[in-house]
Amino acid sequence: MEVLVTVLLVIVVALVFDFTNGFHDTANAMATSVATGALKPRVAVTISAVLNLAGAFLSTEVAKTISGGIINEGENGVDITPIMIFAGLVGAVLWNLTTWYLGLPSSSTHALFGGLIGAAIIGAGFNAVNFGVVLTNVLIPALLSPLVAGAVALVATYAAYRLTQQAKARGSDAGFRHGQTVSASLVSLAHGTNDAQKTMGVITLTLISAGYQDSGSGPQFWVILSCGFAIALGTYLGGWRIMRTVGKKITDIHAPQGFAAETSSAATILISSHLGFALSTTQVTSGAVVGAGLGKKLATVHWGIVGRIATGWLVTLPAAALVGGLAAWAASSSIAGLVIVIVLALAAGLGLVLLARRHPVTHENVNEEAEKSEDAAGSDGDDDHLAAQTTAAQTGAARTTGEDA
Amino acid sequence: MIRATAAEGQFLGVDWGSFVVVFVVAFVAAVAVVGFYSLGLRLLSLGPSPKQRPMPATLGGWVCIGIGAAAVLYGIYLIIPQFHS
Repeated sequence: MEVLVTVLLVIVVALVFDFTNGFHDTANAMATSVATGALKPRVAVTISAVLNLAGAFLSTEVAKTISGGIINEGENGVDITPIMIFAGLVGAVLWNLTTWYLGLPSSSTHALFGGLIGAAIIGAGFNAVNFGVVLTNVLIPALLSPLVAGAVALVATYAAYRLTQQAKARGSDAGFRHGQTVSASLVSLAHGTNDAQKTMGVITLTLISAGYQDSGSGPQFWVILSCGFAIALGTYLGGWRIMRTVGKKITDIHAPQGFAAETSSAATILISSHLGFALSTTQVTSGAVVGAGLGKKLATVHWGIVGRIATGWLVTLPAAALVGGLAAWAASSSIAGLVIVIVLALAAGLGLVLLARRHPVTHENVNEEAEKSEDAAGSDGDDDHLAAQTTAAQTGAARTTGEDA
Repeated sequence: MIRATAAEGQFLGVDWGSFVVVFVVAFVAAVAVVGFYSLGLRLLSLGPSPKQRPMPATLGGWVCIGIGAAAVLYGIYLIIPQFHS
């Protein structure tokens, strides 16, 4: 009975994680198209939602391990219990909500890894984590992939402007906007085939470990369906806050830059996936946007916001691990502990949502850059500060916002 | 670029050979696609107005755009596992 309850909890939180993954990553594909007007905001998120849903059904590869080698799973290593998975997912979800609130693009994958690492360390000690794999699979790609995408986007942007006489050739701006639609759709489709799989993998492996499914079998249809819908719904509801950061705040994106950035992202993501290495869509597209900003003459890149994004990426693993670890410690101590974790997580999540409503970003104002919103003034990226924020969000603490206009 | 076990060309456990491959291929692919598409747009912009565009420019322009479209189709082919598993 207890196992069933824990498995159900895992499924619920996993779907919530998938949902937050959706609205986080909708910005990656669509921010530049929305910023230049190539696509109207709601059309953009609809296209992205449909493609993500399609992508979820298209790819059927099952994850072999929940953590991709980061946690020493299996015979000689650690048994990842459903409680640990639950706690890890809680950490990942709260981190996703926090970065959404701050309008910062961040890797949902890394958040998931972080949560699982924290839960595993609490559940089984430091030996449970293979830090070498963390270095090679998480930290180094986090550093390199945005640089690669950025360099590619820089040159591509330069070429685009050169070849069309600084985009003054007749019809070139409109042409680039049409191109943006296509390249952004490609990125969405690629994202859909990658990211829904993670949650399907987590749910399936939990079902297998709890004995509800045969070992080695693939995701059941209802799992695929629910994960697909969760990510599509999240995508449609749209991470407008993040979209504004990626589309407007890093640099003022124009159509040729948007086209170059999304094409560079698509190329980098597709080629590395094809070769078997998964990269973070978020990190690639953010890097490409910075590169596109640099590739246009006289364009300004706001390095302050780039610095905050990079800090967010650095903090993702530790912050999610912290929350995941705390959740694991409490949830595995007793039923009361588990209940407390659930209540606190719900409260923190709700708190962040309510806080966000004070300065809402919607499809109507996503293209406005100048706004006294908290994500320009607020967190310094310190993970203690953010962890405190997630648990104290409901009391509305920790806000340093300027006066509301 | 990431392998679970050490292999030749590894430093810090990263397969730098593969990293270079990803960089080079992505670079060539993206710059080529953007370049051809931009060239196509430029060709289509020649002439005093779209109706008075010289025939070679129209032809060349659409061919260049077609190359970009072909690249997109190839990308879709790469994305959808059913096509190449």
